[in-house]
Amino acid sequence: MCKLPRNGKIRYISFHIALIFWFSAILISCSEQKNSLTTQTSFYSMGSYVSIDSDKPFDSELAAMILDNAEKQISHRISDSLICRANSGDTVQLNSYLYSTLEMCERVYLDTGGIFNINILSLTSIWDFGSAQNNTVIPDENEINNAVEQIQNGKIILKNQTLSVKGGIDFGAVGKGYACDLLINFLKENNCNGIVSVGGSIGIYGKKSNGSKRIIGIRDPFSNDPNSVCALITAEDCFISTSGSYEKYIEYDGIRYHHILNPKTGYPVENELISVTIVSKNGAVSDALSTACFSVGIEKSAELCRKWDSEAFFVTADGKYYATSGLSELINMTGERKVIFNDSPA
Amino acid sequence: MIRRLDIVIIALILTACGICHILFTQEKGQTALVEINGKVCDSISLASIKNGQTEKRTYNSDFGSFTLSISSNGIQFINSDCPNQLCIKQGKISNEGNCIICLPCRACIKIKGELLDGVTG
Repeated sequence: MCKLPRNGKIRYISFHIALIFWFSAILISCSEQKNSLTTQTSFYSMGSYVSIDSDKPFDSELAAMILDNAEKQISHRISDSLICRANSGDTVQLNSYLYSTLEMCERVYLDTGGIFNINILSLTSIWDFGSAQNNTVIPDENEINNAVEQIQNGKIILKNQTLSVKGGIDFGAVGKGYACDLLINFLKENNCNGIVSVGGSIGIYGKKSNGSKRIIGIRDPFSNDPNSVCALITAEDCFISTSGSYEKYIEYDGIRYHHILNPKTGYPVENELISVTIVSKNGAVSDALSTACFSVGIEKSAELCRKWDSEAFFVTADGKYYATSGLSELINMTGERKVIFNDSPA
Repeated sequence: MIRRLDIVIIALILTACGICHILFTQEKGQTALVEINGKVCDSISLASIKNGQTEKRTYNSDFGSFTLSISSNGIQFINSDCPNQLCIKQGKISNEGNCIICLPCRACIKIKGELLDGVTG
């Protein structure tokens, strides 16, 4: 006797359950597409490919904005950036992290006897490396000598959070590591463990969500394949940067001119090295030291690394591998390669 | 007797199930991702391409155009607007975690993988 009303009630309830289910599915699919909260993002900033991987969601738009803002401060190519204004003769006020990064660069400059120098725009602006291996033009000798003279007369004055420059700062040797610092700080503030990469400079905070440490490959400098690695580093809470003569170069008259310039000669650094990788607790330091150690060579690098509490991995042009002893538990060579751990001169 | 409301209920449940299936189904086998300006614009299952066959896909954006050649054993750039053609010179990638970047086109092709967390240098 109650059959019809009961069926009606069941239909009524079923309809509403189905409606809720349908709306939930729509809402989930919408939120997957429009939410900027994500655990993985990639974008282009500071002339580099940037990627961030995290164990918890973070605001990817905010991360991109942090780097865009940093680029507007440090790029010598952006006409009203802090660095550009300082290069034009203004005294500019800096935020505390940018100021301390520049102080670090000045100390590395002194530690390397001036062979690491960010006041080098007069030289880097006349060598057009770009990323085109088929660029076949080098600056002429007079241009180079003028640039070297400008560098010799150049000066960076850091006082009370302000910067004045005589010459021109090019942040290229430090910028990617600096960007990694900003992004790792951002992840930390959001309670995220993760890994960031800015054009090959890497920053790592914490472990992966499965509890294991991250594995970073060091590019094989002798291979044309950018994904071929000669060594693996197990990493947690550190920053890794590499400088190599294979990255950017100009071929002219049968000679290869790489992009790591000696500010005292105006020409590329010449020594036994083809690549240096630095592992450090700070991104800007890892980036600066990778250039500095490449420039001074293996023998003087050991002292530099000790001073800056960093570890180094070297590859020589004749195919030998060296590393500071702090990497002995962390590094594994691939294939048949062998590494010599050595903190004293090679 | 089936009423109109029954049909509506069934339709709602079926479409909801369909949406959930699309959201949560994972493709097996190697997957290549194509990103332009940091956003994934294509996801290609390499396993879905028959052995010996090659598929070509062209992508156009404000940053430039490029063409990829995709086979069951890898993916590579075969054409690009970029001035230095470095992306093409890097050849084919096939291992998980590998990627090729074309900076002028802001394009990145990568094989999804878990082996390495990053490569420095």
